[in-house]
Amino acid sequence: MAYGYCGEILHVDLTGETAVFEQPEENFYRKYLGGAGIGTYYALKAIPAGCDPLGPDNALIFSAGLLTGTPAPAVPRFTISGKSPLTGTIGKSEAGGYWGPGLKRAGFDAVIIKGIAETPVYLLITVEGCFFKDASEIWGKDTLETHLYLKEKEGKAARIAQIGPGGENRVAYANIVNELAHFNGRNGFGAVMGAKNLKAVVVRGNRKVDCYDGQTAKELTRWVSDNLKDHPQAYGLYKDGTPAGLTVQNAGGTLPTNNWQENVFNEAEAIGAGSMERILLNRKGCFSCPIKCKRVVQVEAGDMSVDPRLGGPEYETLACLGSNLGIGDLELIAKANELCNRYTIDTISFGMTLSFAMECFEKGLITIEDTGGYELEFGNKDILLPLIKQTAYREGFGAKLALGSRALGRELGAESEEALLQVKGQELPAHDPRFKTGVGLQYAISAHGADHWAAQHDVLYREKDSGPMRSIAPLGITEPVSITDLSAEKVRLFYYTHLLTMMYDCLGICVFGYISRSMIPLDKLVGLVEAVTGWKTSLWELMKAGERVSVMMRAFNAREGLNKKDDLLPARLYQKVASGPLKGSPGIDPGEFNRALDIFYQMAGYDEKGVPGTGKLSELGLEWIRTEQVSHDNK
Amino acid sequence: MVRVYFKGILKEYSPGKNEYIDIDYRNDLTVEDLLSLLETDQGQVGIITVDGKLIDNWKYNVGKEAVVELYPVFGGGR
Repeated sequence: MAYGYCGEILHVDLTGETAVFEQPEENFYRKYLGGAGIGTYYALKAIPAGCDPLGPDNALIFSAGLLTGTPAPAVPRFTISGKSPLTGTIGKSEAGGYWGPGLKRAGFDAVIIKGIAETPVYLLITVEGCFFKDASEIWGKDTLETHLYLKEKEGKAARIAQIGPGGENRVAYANIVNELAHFNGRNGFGAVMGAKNLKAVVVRGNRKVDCYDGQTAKELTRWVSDNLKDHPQAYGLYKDGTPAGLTVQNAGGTLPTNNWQENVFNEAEAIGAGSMERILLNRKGCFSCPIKCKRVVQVEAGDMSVDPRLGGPEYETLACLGSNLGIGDLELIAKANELCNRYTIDTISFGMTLSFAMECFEKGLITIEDTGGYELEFGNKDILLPLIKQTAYREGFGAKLALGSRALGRELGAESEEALLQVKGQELPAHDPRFKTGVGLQYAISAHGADHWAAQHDVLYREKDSGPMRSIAPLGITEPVSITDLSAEKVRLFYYTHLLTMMYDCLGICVFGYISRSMIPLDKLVGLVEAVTGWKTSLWELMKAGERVSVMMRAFNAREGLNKKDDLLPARLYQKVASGPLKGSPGIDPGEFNRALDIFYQMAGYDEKGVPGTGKLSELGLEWIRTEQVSHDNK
Repeated sequence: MVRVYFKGILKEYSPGKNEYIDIDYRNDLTVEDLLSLLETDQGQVGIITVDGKLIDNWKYNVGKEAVVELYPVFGGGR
């Protein structure tokens, strides 16, 4: 009997409107667990090398975490995998909310979607099977309109993952939203759905996710509720949410401002957690999560009203649509966030692409004729909302912004390069690696482009005897490491917490529930996996699954011709800090960073070009990956 | 007198949940001494400023009328 997982994988072909059901054996689940493990496995199996990300051969794989749907705390997540149209690499994007548990309740661990529908459709997945449904009535509608329509049509219990006009119009960084406020935000998978004529994937079911020992999972949820206040980082997520980071980053002189040309924003307090109390309506959480880190905001101001059903801005949004654009108007940012959510546009990539364009405008590389009359000046509040709409519909200058910053930069020429802040085509989140070099390693090494949750953050591990430091003692790390260090000790810290975080992505775990960002320790986590599955397992076995994700993603990229030459940080990060309390501090040393990359490759079992070696593939039981082709494409 | 502000979630964990606490000055008072006096978990403090200046070294001596601000660790957002 299967515990934790359902034992059923769904393969859908939109072109032929066929569905095939696969029942993998238990060992498959033990090896890949779920989420990113199963997603990356099928990405390698189903997607041919060199395929067009927006063509019929690309696959979109939705896979729930192994623990997702159980009554355990903070395990709501599912992964979307496929080839990213933004980066041209393997893509990987997680979301919380309710859709992942809904997929399990419909009886499936994962769904693999290929082909292109002839006309707009949505998929309905239930315990009875998979149904192809006409979406012509909702094609062109925004996410709120689509949500209401599908709830009416398929019932209130249906869980909806969908795209708005940004996805339909194939904005390179369009995202996918479930239940209106939970996003697979990065890598542009909304554009892939749009290209497939797939408006939504609706799941509905009442099948309980069987646990070997469900009581332990429930007790852990109760333990989190009972002890939340004893853990400042976890309780802070409830009380202030991620917006709390804004004033912290600003005080430390590390808040990306004006396309990272500055590190301090004078109006940070105006868009921080304290100010958000003014528009805060509620705090919400994901499935079976007592932490409730999500903000729900409401503004009633005519055309500028913000509908609370579409959630509220997180830290990354406040920085990327706020300080980084020179905008200190919280209500405007909340409205911009709502619009992006209606259109399914990633707020990080949009904000960073616009800030790149603003700097290019300052430098004269973009003119007012190019923008159709918009003054792309930092702090110009009048342009934000119209440019979001233009981007979603690929109209006017929005058609340029819809390309993403790397593609736009290629059109503008080499002079624009110093203003570019992206890795492998994906725009940087709002964490400056000059002050946490491990995050720089994350950005550079992530197979799917700059990602701030490919490992834990350096700031957690700089004080001996602190809670976060003690939390990773089971990994064998007991000594603090300076946030600006790039020695082998830092690489090891990054590497081990990278494997930990990839393991989380297989299990469906949210980093806001578990160590080191939050409170649930590793021994309780291993006990939870044992209770849910009935397996006798260990942290070692589970982290090996995380390692498989990392290695499979690099193998996918190697097949596409990517290697060390693509593990690059943007030029600005090598420059001195220009302003704020850290003014004059050195940028990242390129020689040291290059050495750190080499050390990482050696630790990970990659060759000197950053490609997984045959020994590593064998050690992880991944011999099936065609190593000859991997190395051939990298000659 | 030294005034210590607790920013963000740290206020919830300050003595009496106060926004700030005044501490009697003594010679050679360091930031680390202040944290110890206030029984503040060092691992939860991410940023410290003294009189508006960012302090990296926690052995830093604070002045007689210093204003100290403590900000929580921010280990990653969404």
